[in-house]
Amino acid sequence: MSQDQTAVKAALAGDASAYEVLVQRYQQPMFRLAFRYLGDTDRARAACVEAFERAYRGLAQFDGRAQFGTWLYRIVANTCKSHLRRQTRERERFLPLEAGNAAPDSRPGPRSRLLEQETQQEVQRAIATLSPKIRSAWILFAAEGLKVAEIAQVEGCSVGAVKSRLFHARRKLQAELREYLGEVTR
Amino acid sequence: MRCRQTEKQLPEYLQGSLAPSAQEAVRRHLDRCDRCRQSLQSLETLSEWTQASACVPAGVPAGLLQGVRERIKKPSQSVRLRPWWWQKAPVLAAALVVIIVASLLPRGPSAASKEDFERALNLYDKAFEYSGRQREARLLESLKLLEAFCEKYSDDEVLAPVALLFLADCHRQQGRADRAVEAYRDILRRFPSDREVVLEARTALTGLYLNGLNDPERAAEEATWLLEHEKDCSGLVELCVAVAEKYETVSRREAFRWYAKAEGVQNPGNAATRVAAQRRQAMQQEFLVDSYLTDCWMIGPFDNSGQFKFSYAHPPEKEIDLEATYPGKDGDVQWRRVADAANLARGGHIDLLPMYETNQYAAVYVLTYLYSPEERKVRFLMGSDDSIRFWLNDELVWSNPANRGYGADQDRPEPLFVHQGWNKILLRVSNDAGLWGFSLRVTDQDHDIDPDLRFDPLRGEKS
Repeated sequence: MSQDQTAVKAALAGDASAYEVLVQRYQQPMFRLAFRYLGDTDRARAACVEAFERAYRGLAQFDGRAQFGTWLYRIVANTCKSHLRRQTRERERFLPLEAGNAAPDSRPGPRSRLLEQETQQEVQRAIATLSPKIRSAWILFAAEGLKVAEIAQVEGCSVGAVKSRLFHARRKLQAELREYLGEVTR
Repeated sequence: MRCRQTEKQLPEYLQGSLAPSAQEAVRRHLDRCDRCRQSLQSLETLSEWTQASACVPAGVPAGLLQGVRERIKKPSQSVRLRPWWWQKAPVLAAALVVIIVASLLPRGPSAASKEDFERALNLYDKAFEYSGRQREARLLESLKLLEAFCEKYSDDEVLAPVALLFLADCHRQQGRADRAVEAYRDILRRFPSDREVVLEARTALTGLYLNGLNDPERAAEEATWLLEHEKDCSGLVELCVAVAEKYETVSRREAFRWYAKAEGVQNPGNAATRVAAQRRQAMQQEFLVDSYLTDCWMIGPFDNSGQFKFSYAHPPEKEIDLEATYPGKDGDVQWRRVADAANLARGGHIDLLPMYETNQYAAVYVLTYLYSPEERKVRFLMGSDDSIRFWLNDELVWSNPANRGYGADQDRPEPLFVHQGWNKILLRVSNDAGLWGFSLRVTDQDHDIDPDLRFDPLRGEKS
């Protein structure tokens, strides 16, 4: 039995601190994912809190077939999607389109610094043009590095559907960012 | 492995999560497919950019863990106090408003369209897990969904062209080449500026014309477009080679040209380029033999002195009867076959001296036929020691009474019209004294070897 499963079992038996261990273990990747969906620190934190609560309440449904992390990803992704639907009725988007939308405490990592400001904005704009399902699969794949089978578990769809979504995501992003890709591949 | 299949496996390939055999199959495909290799590169770059594009704050914001603690201490709020539809009522009302508003707006990309699209696509993908009738049934089902999609969302600029591509492919998979062509043509008409879609459609059309419709000319038109507009398009070398192979049975000249075009596509190390180069070189050697006169009928010697000199018409100028016997300079003469491929090494020079004892004031007639697949102008290049006369289809077209030593291509008449099919060639090569010989070769108007032109004294019949 993995450490996660042991903690889940203990939490189900009423040990709240065992669940806190799980939250501490996963809060960083889950917050990162939520931030990628919502593009804002406060919203991402709120979504994470809600998602961890949902997970806690539904802990009994975790049957151990998937990794606990994958199961959690699914809950965070779904929570973020519903936040997004609530917040942006006019236009769905996962990431801020203007630089000013970024959280004030956000600091670009070394990878970000490699990208020109303009390219960063263009990449964000291009990702925002993807449909929610395709965007979600793409973020889980490209930003979070989830395996295709894991994305299928998170998204609750078949592996074939994930492949199709990633295929279309790449194709659409390629078309949107053709100008910038050209400079890289030329 | 097909490109589309490979492209869908690229994410897993990149992550190394495919089964070893599938990983190897993708790797092999990538080795020979520039286009898929480029797709992989794009996938990598786009993934890196996606990771880098959002400035995700380092660490975890304060209060997250505390927030969770507080929330889980409270009792669950999801207690059902009302019937389910009561809870959902605001959502249902909002959905109703969305539906009504959507029905009033012009059609465009929407979540519904994408879902329809994905449903059709999943069915299409699934079809390839089956074979025979089961596959056909699924493709047919997918085709219907795609048709409905294309009709419903015809102004969706993102998904409509892709749906049309899949629709065309469904037709193609089911052997309806005409319908597939129609669909691809529709794509080209409607989305001329969607580069990737145009590339896919043109490439597929080339394949259809080559395989389903057996029409190398139309295939060549599509491939020519790609060569002119998308020189870097991957798979172009393979496409040119396929066109060349198709042409081999129809027009050797076109086949030769397409091998040359394949070779000309910048793609170092490509196996298809090597095949094209080998085929072109082999054909060139073969064409060289055919474009020089190395095999012919010959009769002589006839008298070439006094009144019989140069312009005197001996019997072969009046009739061709390969069985006939005529009075010659030293007795009766008959037509005989002379085949000397070795003369190629001498630049096509046929030495008459060893063939006839009498070389003084003597003349021989040379008969052969030239095949051309169409009516057109060609060039005949001749050399002779001494004089030469040349009839094309019984018309005297060149006459040089020179008393000279032999040189290759000494006489270069203006281009001459030849008929489609077999053209009769008759030469009279006359000698006053000493060395005696001649050569004849045919080229296109630009003096280049033309693989479609060939001499054959038997007019294509076996001896």
